[in-house]
Amino acid sequence: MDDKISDNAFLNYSAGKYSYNDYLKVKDWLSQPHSNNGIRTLLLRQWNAFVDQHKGKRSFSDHVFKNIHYSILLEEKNLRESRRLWNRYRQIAAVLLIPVLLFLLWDHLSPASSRLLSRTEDIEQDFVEINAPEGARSKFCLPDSSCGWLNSGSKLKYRAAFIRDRRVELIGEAYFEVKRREQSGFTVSVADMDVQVLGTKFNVSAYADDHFTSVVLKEGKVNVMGRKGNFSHTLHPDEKITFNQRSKSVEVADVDAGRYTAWKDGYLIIEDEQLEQVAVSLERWYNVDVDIIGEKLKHYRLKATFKEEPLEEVLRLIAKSTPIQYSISQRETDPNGVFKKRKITIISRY
Amino acid sequence: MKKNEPHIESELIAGLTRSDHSSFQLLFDYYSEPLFLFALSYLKSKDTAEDLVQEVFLKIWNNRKSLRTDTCFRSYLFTIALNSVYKHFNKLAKLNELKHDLLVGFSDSEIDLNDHSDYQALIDKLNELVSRMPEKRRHVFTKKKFEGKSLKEIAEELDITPKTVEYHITEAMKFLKQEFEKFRIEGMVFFYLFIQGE
Repeated sequence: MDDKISDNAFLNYSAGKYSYNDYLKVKDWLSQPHSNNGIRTLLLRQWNAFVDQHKGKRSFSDHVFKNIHYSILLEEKNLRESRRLWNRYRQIAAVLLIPVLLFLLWDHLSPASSRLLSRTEDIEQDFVEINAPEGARSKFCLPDSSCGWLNSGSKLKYRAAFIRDRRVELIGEAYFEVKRREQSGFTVSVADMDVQVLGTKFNVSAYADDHFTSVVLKEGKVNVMGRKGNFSHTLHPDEKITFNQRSKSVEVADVDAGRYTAWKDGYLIIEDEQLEQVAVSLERWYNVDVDIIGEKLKHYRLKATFKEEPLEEVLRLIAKSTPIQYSISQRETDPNGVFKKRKITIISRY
Repeated sequence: MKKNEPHIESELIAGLTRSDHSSFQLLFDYYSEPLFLFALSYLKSKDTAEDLVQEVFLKIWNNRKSLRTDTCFRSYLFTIALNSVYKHFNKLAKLNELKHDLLVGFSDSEIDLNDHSDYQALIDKLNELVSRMPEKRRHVFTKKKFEGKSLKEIAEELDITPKTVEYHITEAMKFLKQEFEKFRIEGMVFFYLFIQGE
């Protein structure tokens, strides 16, 4: 290609006065950038000129650095927590080691018929279950030292034989940080799919009352496979796969994984969702019932982030920025005298 | 300044590899504006250019441990920035194509349009006209023409009938056609007035 002509196209384009044909030439090169070294040199020259003329100034939004800083702090906080946990483990392991050794010695010396360890096979058939009640999030650790968080109203189940076959069943939402083990995969089973991993960090959302299941990957690589063999996809970091149970369709999108895992740090994030969906999140987060009166209101979209705010404060802030008003009803008791959930009613302000 | 740039820089980079926040912020303060302007000159969108600055600096932070102290930071930044520019530029290409299709519809000859020496002015005009539409019409129009959604999808999303969606599109297209007609007649004179009025 004629270098002179494409040089001009680049100069025109970057200066802001260019023809569509110039744009096409730039586009051509930028979509296959290694075909012409001359252009790279030209870009480097432009870059150096920008640095020399504009270093140390600032004309764009301050928000940009704040966002970066926020991501960094979040990452550091997670790191500190996992370190603290590891130290804790070491202490516990040290204390437990002595009785375990004594037990093994005793078991070994006693007659074969009464040995306790021979019964382990029956035990391995049993399930262990971890629950996070509505309105609470809990941290869990599995026998292979993979850890994670269970979101409100979720349940995680695994067999006592877990260490040989790393498989857990999930209903609800959980974030996993899986320890890598050579030749031993880790599988999360939910109603309609299996997620197979080696060692990574990812989030799975599969609430029984949602009509979709989704997986978001933060680090590493996971395979997501439909239960009925209807789809199979390898997920990359910052990708989200969603299986819609109604339309039986699968969708993969680029996302910021941090947003989908922030709940474990106490952030309630509403990312351009319809009020109807927000109500479901609030119900789970605060263990309440939310009623929205009026079809139109249900489709009202909003965006917000809350950090460990009480329910009243969250509602007050939503009402401030949207045309809604709300009321929190007195808690009623059922015939047995047990208090029912609090009920929130949302209606239009007009 | 240029002279002791390398000296200061190697200290800041050493700080960065030790995860020192203030070194990182100083590097950001120094290089974010050139990076933003460089990105803007190829992406032509402030929002996307800001996203790029954020993305590039996060990448630098995440790779801090493998950074060598004798790195020329300026060149290192350029390499990362260029990769991000490719990525975002190609992401925007689809939208640019859709906008171009609209402009072709409003001009007499596609060949003239493709050779028009100030294409950016036409794109700016299109953006400005779209932003002047009433809110609902603008939503309907952008969803249809820039996001490529179907009448039915838009109707469901905005809770209106497909007929109403169609009506908004027709009106929006009529409006754009008229305004582009005027724009062409008034020619470049109008354009300069408009830029100064901003």
